[in-house]
Amino acid sequence: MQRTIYDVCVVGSGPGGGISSYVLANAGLKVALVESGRWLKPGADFGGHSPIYEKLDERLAAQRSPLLSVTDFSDHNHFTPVGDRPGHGLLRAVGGRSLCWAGHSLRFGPLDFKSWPISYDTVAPYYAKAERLMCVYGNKDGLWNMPDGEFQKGVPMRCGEHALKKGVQRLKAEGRRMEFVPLRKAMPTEFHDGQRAKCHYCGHCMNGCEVDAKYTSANTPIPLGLKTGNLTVLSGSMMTRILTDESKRRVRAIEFVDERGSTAQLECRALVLACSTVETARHLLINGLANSSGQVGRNLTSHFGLSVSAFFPQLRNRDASNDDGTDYYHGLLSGLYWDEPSKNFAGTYQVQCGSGLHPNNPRIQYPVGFGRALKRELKEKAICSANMNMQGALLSSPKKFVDLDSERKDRYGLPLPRVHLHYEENDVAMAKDMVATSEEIIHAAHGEVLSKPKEVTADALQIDYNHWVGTVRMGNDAKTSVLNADGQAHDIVNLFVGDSSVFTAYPEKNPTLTNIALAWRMSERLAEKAKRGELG
Amino acid sequence: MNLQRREFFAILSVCAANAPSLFAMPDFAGYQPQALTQAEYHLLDALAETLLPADETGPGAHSAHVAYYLDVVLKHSSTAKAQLWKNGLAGVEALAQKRFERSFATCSEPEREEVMAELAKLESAPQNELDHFFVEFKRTAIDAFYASILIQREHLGYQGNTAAMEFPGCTHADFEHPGI
Repeated sequence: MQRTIYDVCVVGSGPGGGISSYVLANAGLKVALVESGRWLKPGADFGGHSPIYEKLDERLAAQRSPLLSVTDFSDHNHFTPVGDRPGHGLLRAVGGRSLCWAGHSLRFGPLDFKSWPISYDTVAPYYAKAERLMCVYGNKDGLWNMPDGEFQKGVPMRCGEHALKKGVQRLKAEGRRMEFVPLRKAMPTEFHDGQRAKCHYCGHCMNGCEVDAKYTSANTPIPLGLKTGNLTVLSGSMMTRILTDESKRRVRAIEFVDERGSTAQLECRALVLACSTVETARHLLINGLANSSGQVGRNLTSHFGLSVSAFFPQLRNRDASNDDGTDYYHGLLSGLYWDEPSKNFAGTYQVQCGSGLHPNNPRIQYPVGFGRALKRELKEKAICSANMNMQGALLSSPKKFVDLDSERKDRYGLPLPRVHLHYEENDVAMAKDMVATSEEIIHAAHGEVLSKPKEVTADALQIDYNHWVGTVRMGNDAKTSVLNADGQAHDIVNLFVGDSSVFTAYPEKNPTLTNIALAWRMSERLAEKAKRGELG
Repeated sequence: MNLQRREFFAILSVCAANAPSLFAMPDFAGYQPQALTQAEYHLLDALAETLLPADETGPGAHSAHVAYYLDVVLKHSSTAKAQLWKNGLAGVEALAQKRFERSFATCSEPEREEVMAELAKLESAPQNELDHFFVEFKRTAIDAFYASILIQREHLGYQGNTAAMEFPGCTHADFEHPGI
């Protein structure tokens, strides 16, 4: 076996692992980044500009979707689903799920950090650093619980989103508490001196950005880390074991299998796990580590939702020649139940709103009929419709968790994770509220409801399989949490976590910006502790 | 390399890659159906054109090569699904023979429309195999239709999927501040 020693080993190169590698390497520490996937080449391995017909036969033969997308590299059979149709968006590649995210970058607000061991003010400077590095665009909206950040020039909304905004304005005039603002995303809209090209508004963001304008770990922090000379990337390498000293209170190495299939050990003074909410919990459970609280794998939550779509006859004559922009959603219904909690459910939701034609995905409906009338209706609906997509915070409860499957194992002989999801009354009540509110907004905007769920039950709800958080949560009490406020394990002095599993609680807002800000803060703390010799 | 030059070349490469003539599109004219027989393929082509015909708003399913798309989908589908479609096409043919004593492909446009009206009668609540075939055929044909660049550009008027320096957003006069 080879023997190598690093100051820090970071496992996983997604949003958290990528930023940790950069911050730690930049602080002068020798860092090894271990990633089970390989480097992908934008424009070759993925790229949404190609027409669907071009490689239809080849792609269907390979059991892929018709569109050349980075999500081809997702491993959908990696977990065992238990309950209400959970999913797990594990993307094995350098950059991980940052390659296929839509770039939505919303700060959590003061209310959202209420039950965390850290406050909004503590995280705010890291949000600012992250926004600068990621090139987040947005408008200064002045919302108290979704604070403004350091934005590049905002991207305008399309007509469908404007129509919905009019509906919201009319309801606000009647005393309703809600906001409708343009979305904020991590794509450069101005020339800058960073790593990436300016966005060219082709709308293919989630398929993987062909010119690498959208922020990913693979195009920004990892290359910056490599430039320091302190970062080594071990791609195609799967961590198979965490090795500790006899007391199990200090990590000394990891064992991994490299791309040639050879097993090696990598000794380190500190370990950062950033494998994803499901995978980090899985590795800790497999190795029996950091779990004196019994909380590893618990407190799992995600976003869930359903959709309502609208038809706006007043948009019949609009210019629909190019609605691409920055992927589908350009508008956001926000500010619901911040000031006054709902009487019917705990937590809240936001609604991502998009409209218009979209390359290779015009969001068509399937009306009845055929012939010229069908064609006319299809065109009209495609041009005049808008979609409202709910993103609600799933109630955290003992019914939602990750554990190990005693039957199924991966190619390394390690137990695969089971993801347990059972929707509860609170979740259904929140979804019902969303449908009712969306209908009110559409009617206030002088539109018609084009589609909505026939009945809002648990069966109608869809989980967001890219937004899982909370299996290794932070907290001040070692009896009820796995990590302290610095993202450091209560039980193991040199074990840190850099992914979204650290979240103490979950609001309605997208997780990635907060994941990156927290990983940045954790990495600075780790570097300081390492320099002070506090890592054992 | 100067960043702005690099960006310029990145955008230029996207523009070049999106010139329709540069796409390596399949040889539609010489295509030999692989899931269906030649006769079934021609019937499917005629059926798709009746569903989504060429008209004053733009080209129809035939010009969009919808039948090609459907045959490729069937080639990679389960045997049960392919059989449902084959049975469905046989059902369409039988319907045309029964009504007009000739094959669907040789029926006039009004006759084809009459056959399709019969097929579509129960599309909201399909009962038998032929109804289920029609629902599945219609949905997949619509997907195939809108996946065609020709249809996106000439029927929908869509000019996107390209590189733009700015995104203007809504320009509709009904909105007070459309650029926001």
